[in-house]
Amino acid sequence: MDSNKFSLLNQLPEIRSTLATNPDAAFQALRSILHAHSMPGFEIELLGRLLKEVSPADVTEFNLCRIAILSNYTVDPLANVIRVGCLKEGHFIEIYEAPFDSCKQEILSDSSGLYAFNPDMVVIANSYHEFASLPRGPMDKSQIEEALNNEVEIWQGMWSLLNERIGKPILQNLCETSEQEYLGIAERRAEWSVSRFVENLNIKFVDSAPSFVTWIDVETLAARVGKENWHDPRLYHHGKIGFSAQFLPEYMSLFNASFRSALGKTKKALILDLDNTLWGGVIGDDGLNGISLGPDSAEGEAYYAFCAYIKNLGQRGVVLGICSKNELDIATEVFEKHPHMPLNLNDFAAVYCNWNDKASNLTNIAKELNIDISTLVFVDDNPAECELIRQQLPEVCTLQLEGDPSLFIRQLDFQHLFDIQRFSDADLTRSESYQARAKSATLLASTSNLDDYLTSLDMKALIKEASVDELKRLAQMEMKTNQFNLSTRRLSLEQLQSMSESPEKKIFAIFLTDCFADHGLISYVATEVNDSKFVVTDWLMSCRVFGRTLEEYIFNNIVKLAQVQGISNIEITYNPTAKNKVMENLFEKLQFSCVSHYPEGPWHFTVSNDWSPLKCVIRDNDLSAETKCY
Amino acid sequence: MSKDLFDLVAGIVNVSPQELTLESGPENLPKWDSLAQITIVSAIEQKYSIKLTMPEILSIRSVANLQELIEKHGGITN
Repeated sequence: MDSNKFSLLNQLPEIRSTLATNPDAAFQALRSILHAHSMPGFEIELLGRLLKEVSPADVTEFNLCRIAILSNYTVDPLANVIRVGCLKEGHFIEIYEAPFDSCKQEILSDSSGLYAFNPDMVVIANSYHEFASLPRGPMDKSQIEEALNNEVEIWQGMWSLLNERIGKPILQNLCETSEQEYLGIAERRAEWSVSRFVENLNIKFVDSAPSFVTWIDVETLAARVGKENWHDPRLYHHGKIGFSAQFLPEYMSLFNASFRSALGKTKKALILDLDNTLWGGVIGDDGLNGISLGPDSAEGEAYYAFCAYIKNLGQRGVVLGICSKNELDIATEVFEKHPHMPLNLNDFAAVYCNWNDKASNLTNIAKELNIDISTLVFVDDNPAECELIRQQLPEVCTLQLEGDPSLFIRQLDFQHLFDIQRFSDADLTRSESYQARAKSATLLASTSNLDDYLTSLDMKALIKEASVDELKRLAQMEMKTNQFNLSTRRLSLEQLQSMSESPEKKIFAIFLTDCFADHGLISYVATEVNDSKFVVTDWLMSCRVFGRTLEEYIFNNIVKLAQVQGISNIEITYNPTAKNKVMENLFEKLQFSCVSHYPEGPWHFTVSNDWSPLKCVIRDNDLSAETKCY
Repeated sequence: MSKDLFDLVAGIVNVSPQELTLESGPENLPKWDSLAQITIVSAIEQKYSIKLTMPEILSIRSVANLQELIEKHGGITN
């Protein structure tokens, strides 16, 4: 993946020149980058500074949004992160930076720069130092209550004045409480302590603000990353910088959630992959007892926790759906029969388990649920699937889960994708109403762009006779692979070795690389020459690489091998099992016809006389290239 | 020459890296104002995983100073 890692610095000259000549094109490109990569804080600042140079008159395709920022911090870093964050949401931002620490003056004076700018949105980001009623020392309960109410009244006045004069959404940071602890727990008891006062004020603000005020919960974010890290006294004293720039990515996620809320563009549905997303392993291969889910292992517990988190999202009104390359019957068994799966099938409003490309599945899910496709969030562990969706459905928010499953909840939760400002009764019953719409999932024509996508994967494959080391790996695959498995004979290492030593039999190992990864050894084919027939006895493939024309590529090579030996009679023996149904459709695709099959026995397929090489988008890997086996 | 550092500073003060020398700084680059200085400090701290002290931040007058400070704190520029 390192080769795909984006670095703003490396591309800076190009980005700068495109921004100058064709800002719309640059914005499109940057928007895709922002969706696919998380930029560190300094890159966000850098990009924000570049965007500032772009004149609104040169931008035609992006919605212009004029934002006024009022703050008692230095506005610049906030302006930068807001420019970048809004670009990610598809908006070009023109910003009015009110003079430092002039929030109330700007709101109160009807001739201020704020009103002259006439913004589409006002962002207010103040530290608690701004509060006039902040206790300066011990006060009794009634005085505190009065001070709190006084502060709330002041702000209610500000909000209604802004509403009267501008009438546009207000986004306001909640205040971070102080990091200083002074006398410890006594501060928690004392209502006049700064921390307690600010805490109480935040609660009152949230409770009493009118609906045109949208909150940005910076207090919770600062606590999450740790106030010692959040605050940077050096840069605060040096330049009144509000918080450490390393947390600009986190602030951006939070800001964007409020921005979407204010514009009524909240995400509605979470569409999930299954294998290695909701459980560890591949259900089609590992079976109900083989997948990792539940208290038997740390990994299983982590997947359980992730499923429980998703269930809670569903209960809060997020519509849930499944989009997975799987056999429907096999995959749904997990929800019906697994003792530790907290999600039920009826938690999902749309279930799409099939072998179609996921872009057309997501399009159909949006149609079926009758929601705009831009309100979908798609979560998958597979980088190639995520890339497909980003390319073909850029309006879908795609999140690729990476690495340790115990961190999946954070990867999703910290994006703030589903943040809303308040619950309504409708939220708590929404997913049921969507489920009522849900139909069974069988589908559909694939997109015409699938070829383009597969070509863009830049796949290269290598077919060679398996070495002794590779046979060991194949023996492991034999035990695990259930779906793409022609014979499901469970050949042992010894059997494979004796096959490879037999003059009539051959075992071919197949390797695949694409622009994302070296997938290594992902398939093998065993053949046998028998009475001048060329028979494919075994064929296994990892489900990670189904449907990428690798099947066609391999088969073209098999036919070539037979033809080189002067054999035109080629046969495949298929032994159907409960789990390898995926192969049935394959033979037709390979232009094979069924010559015989028995109710219980193997099926025999044979290649037709007018067979010609099948279309595939995979190139031969250089034979001399080093290929890893793992 | 440390390319990363030049690219970073150039990006922040919005000039091309070729326009920068080790002697470039707030005195000879109008765009290297106090805000740019803070942005530069914050960026090199993130990029090289280091923390400067406030006196060090105040002492920065050139790209050469930045490079010295990064190396002093064990960051590697290349």
